[in-house]
Amino acid sequence: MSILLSILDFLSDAFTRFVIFYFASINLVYFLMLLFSFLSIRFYLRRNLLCDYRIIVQSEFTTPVSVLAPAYNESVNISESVHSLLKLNYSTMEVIVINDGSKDDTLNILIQHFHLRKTRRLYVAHLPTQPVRGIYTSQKAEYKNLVVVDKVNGGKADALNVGINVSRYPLFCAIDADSILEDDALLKATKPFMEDDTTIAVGGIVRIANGCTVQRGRVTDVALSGKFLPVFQVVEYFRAFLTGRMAWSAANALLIISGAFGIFKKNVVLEVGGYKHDTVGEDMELVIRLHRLMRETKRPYRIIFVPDPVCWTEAPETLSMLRRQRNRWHRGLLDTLLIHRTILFNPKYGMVGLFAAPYFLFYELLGPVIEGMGYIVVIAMLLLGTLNTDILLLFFIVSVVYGMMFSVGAVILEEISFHRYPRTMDLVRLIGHAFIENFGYRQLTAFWRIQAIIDYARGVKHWGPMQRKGFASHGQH
Amino acid sequence: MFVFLLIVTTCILVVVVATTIGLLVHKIYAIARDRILQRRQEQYGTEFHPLLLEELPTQYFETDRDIYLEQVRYLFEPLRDSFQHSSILSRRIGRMALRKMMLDLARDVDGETMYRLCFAFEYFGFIDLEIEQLQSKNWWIRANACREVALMKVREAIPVLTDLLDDEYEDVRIEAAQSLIDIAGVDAVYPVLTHLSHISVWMGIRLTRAILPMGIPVVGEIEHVVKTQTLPTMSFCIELLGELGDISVVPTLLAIAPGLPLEQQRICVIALGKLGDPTCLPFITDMMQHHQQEMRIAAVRAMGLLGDGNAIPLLKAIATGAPIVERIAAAEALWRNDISGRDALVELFLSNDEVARTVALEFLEEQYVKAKTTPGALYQA
Repeated sequence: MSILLSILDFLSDAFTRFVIFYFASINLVYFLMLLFSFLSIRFYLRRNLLCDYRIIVQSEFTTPVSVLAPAYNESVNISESVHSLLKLNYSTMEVIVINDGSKDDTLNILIQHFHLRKTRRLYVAHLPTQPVRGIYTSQKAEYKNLVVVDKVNGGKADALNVGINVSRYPLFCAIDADSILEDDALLKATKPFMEDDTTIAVGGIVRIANGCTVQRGRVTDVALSGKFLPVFQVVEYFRAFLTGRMAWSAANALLIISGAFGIFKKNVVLEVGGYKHDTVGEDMELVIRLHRLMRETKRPYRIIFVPDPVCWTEAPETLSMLRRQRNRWHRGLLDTLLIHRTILFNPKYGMVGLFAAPYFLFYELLGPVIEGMGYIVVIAMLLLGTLNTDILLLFFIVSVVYGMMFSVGAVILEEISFHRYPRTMDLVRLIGHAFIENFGYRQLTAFWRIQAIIDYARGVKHWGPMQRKGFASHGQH
Repeated sequence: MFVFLLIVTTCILVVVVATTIGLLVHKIYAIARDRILQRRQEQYGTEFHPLLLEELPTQYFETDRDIYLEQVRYLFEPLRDSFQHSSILSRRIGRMALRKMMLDLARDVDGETMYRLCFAFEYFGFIDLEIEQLQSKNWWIRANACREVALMKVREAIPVLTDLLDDEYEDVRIEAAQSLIDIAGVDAVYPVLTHLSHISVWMGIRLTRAILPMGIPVVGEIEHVVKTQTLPTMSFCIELLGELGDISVVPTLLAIAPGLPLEQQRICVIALGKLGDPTCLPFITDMMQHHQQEMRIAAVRAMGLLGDGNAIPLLKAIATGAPIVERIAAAEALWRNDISGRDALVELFLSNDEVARTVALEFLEEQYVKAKTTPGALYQA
């Protein structure tokens, strides 16, 4: 019995040391990322604050863009989203909506609303996809830039590949059909391509529209939702985009460009074979494949995150929807890291292989597992009577302070740079949520992410249904 | 270990809290300063506008600039004196507001008003300040000063701006190049274009905006750059010549084109197409047989831009019997080739070749969408 106890004692001691090391390293990494992000955003603002983007609109030399919006059962938002896309401020662009075999009346709404007519437009299958049932264009001159493709259901990646096949221009912008791009988002996001020919992909920031007033496909008043869940997600998005992606972008090791808003050079994406069909993390998977291609062929390249072209999206407002979303994201992360496991710690891939991929493995993917194990060990130690409550309490306080520090840091970064929430009360609420998310919300999302790993091991591959409330019902100010 | 962690945590926390407080204090200070600046700008704007528009006793603007400037100086004297009698802080904020107000105003005025404004800018000593800022250690201050000297047409800044064409930051180089062209006009085009070691698309967009409005007078300068074969800026210059549309440069382009690297040759072919001179037809026709597909597509596009009726049989042949990408390019060229080209496209649509029909429809469709008609009605017509 005493041997068993001493083994348990040894294990708990080893685990405690491991957790302390893990905790120290993760917080050091977050702190460095916050610092890099601050410097990068300052540099970005200095470069772009006085930039006159109108000249991009007026110039003949501007690189044209095809905007690809895959839609699956998006009847609630689709007409408003497409209107918003058609009104984007850009010189030469086309909007391609891909109806991915929706079961609702998404296609009919589009046909009626935009006076569409089936055409015999040429379809060249550069990338293999599910069959295309029809290509529609509008009979009205004001919608002449709109193309709607109806296809057999094959998932988001397949729909995007169809969009790439149909697109005419050298750059394509992949967005979610349920999101809203700001008027100047394309201008700001395409500038890096024009500044540097080696830029192959650019990601923009995704912000949460719940609580904002949306009129005619435009966010006219930015405000926080009255509910807890969307505000927690606003803080999370600040951390992910303003801190995380900004820092990785500075090191040219950005592994994720959100599926909700990313611009890519078409010829390079065609070279890597387009989006991969059999993964739920197709956005991250594509970016890693782009990194691999460029590094394996030793070509200079840049994959960039730009922090102010904004894409507004609707965040889940119920726990069940949020759980599905997080589960999908985490399975996507796990799947992508498994597919590209050879890049881990591989010096051939530079920053991507030595730092970015290991970061995602140890801190993003395994973080919740280690956190979960920590809770189990605490309970076990409590039962065994070996728990030092003073140390535990101190550790808890330190972890909450750290967690809060990074969240508040991201909120401050937003406030001093882009300042999109004009009401002081919203700022106070954001800081408040950055504090209370540590008591329940964080643990819940960690639990869902552990569940996602189990689901992945069980072979769950589907996206899971998402229900949209629609932008029209948001923001009753 | 835990104590060490606690110490590190505390240190980081202190740093972050201190930074946060510092940033917030800075933000509050910046807001207050901006508010004061705004108020002072409005105040100076009210005082300044009448001085810029005031009728002077004798109109010497056209005849004797010295006398004219003497009169203008007399107008601004009271405002300058008011600075002499204010406190150092007030004078500093006042000058900052006045300078910003003048720079804002420079975007909206021209002619004699602009002349007076530029004089006032010098009279209040801002030119020295701008030149000082052009030599600042901070790149963003240098870049901003480039914009400002261009707005106020500060010729004294030309030597410093020329040095800044070699700046380590591209943003500064772009601003310096555009400012030089804005200030010195056509004369600056050749030195700027031969000096730059690389022109990105973004820089090209900026420079185009400054150069294209100059029109035909600038063609000689750009042609000169092309003749000197300054390779880094060659593509950009050839594109510019295509956009400017002066066919006198066609012999030069035809002479240099065969010796250019592939990418520049492709740009040259497109530019020749844009220029629309029929003497280019043999060269572009040759390029349609090039071994590189990229070049063949460029030649097909150029043929469409050229709008020559003799090209139609060639384009039709490509639209029916080439790889699909070239077929699409040929159909587009026919579409652009005026009425006879579109008739040829309709013929393709009515042919038995299914691919040719689809390719033709790709472009014909636009026509019936624009004409608000149906394909049937269009083709019956």
